[in-house]
Amino acid sequence: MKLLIKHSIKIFMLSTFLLTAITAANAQTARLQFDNLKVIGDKARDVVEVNVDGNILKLAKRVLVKINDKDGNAKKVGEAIKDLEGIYVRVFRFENANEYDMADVDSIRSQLKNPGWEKLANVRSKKNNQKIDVYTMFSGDVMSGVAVVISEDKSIALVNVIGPIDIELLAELGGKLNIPDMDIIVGDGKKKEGN
Amino acid sequence: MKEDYLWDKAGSDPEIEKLENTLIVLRQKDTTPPELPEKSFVITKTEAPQKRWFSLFPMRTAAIACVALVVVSFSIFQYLRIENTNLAQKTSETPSKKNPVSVKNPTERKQQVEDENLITSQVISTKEPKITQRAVKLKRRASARFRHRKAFARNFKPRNLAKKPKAIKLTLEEKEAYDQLMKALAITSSQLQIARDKIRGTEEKSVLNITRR
Amino acid sequence: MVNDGKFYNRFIYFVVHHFLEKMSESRTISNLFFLRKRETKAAAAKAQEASKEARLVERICAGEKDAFDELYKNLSPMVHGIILARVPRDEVDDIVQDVFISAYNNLHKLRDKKAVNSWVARIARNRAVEFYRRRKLYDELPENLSHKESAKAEASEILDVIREMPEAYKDNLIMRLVEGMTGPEIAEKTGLSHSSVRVNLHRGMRILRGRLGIKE
Repeated sequence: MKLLIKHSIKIFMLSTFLLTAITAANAQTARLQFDNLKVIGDKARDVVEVNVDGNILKLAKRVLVKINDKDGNAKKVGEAIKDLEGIYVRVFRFENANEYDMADVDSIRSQLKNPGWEKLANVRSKKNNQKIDVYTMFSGDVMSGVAVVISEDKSIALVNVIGPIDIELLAELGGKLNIPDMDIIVGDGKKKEGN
Repeated sequence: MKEDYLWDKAGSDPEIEKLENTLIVLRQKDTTPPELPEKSFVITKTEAPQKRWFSLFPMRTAAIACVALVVVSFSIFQYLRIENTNLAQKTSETPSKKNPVSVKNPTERKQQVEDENLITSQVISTKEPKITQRAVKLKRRASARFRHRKAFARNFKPRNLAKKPKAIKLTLEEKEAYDQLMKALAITSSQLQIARDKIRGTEEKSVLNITRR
Repeated sequence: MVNDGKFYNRFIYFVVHHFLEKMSESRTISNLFFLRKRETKAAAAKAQEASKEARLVERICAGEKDAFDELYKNLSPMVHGIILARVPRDEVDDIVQDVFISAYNNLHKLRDKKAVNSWVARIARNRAVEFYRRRKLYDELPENLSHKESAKAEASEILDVIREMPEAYKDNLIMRLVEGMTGPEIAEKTGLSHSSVRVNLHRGMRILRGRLGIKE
């Protein structure tokens, strides 16, 4: 009996370790690496960098639940992102055309060639040298990531979404996602007007 | 080697041999076994304990048990995760208390209320036969009042439709997190819209080209 | 970390492989994959002896007198040596008999029949301790211990020196020098390992030489 217990503990630890490792490995593959974009950022006129994950995302979801606007957009947005794990956005705007090296952007696109990513849309246009790539990643039947790469002569936009998200709903809400007009009481109770 | 002699009497060691010869007088002389007691209890041959199935294959049993435990705990974890998200969804969908409940079909609702009364009175009659008639009357009056209130609420049209949104209490961190999220979502949705429009535009062009031919 | 699916597979493979390598050094993994451990000859011999002892005990439990006599013949030198290391010489034989009768009466309670030798040794040591507890301080010493001229006197003196040593050394030394058992026999009878017995004998002998003034 003692031998059985001793062996059980060792095997349990081994299998838990393996399961954790595999889960961790699987969980990280939807995330794109934006390290090479520092070079582009130095050359750009305007840079927008937004990272929403972890505790920030949890807090924001909590706020969406509290909001009850008349259009119901907050509710729709809440529905679209209920299982979301992270959103990472990079937008670069340049003064003149062809100020950045396309190879830097192609290095991001090459990450989308890794196993797991599936091409959803791919558009090339000679006008403004526009290239649009939309990729998704699925774990079984559940979406685990979305990647959007749009590059033009004077701008680059990169969006990486980790977790399931309703793309159609989000595209539909484009333009309506302004912060609603509401009174917000922040911190020490002083009233502020909504943005 | 002297040490060999001490260990297994290989070789020779005069000193140890001298000691042995001196101490031999102390050796056990009487090697007769003792007489065993006559009236001893019966010593029966004890059977070997039955080997249980898991003691025959401890490793396999342990491996199977551990794998099963890990799988079960993982599925419970996933189930709880799904339940939590469903709960969060339900919480967000819960209507506010002040908003009136919309009534779809008044006649159905009336029937439902009447059925409820019937059921209530039936329950009263079956469970507590000793309740007085006065209690039953009070119950019926209360349900009637409820019905009137429902009808009033249905017919009531509030004068001021444009209500001022209720002030929402947020901490500074929540406000900042919300701003970040909305910004990210706004950019994401706009980019997705661009992609969608581009794809649709491309599709329309290709359709037009086909029809022209 | 580079987002490379192959990297993660390689990483997991490396960790698992390394972990399994470490585990394979212990008994656990060899049993897990049903690999047989190489046994030394001594261990094989020990296992064989142990099963022989177990069979002997079963025969005694079945009521065979001859089996008990065989057990007595095997273990009486060891028991005598243990008792002699602790108790006055005149009491040794009686206590040895008591030890074997006690062992016979309680043999059915023994769970691990292969460990009968060390079990009997433990009974012997306990009986020696019990002897001193029961014995009153004002008991007269037997007369024959006072004769210093006889060979027994010299033996008694050496025995007294050995009795002052640590328990592990004195038991093994008495079994070797008084009872005439060899090192392997002492290991077999007491259940100790060969290396332990060798160390006990070597160290005990060095102390004895020192106290008796014998040059090595």
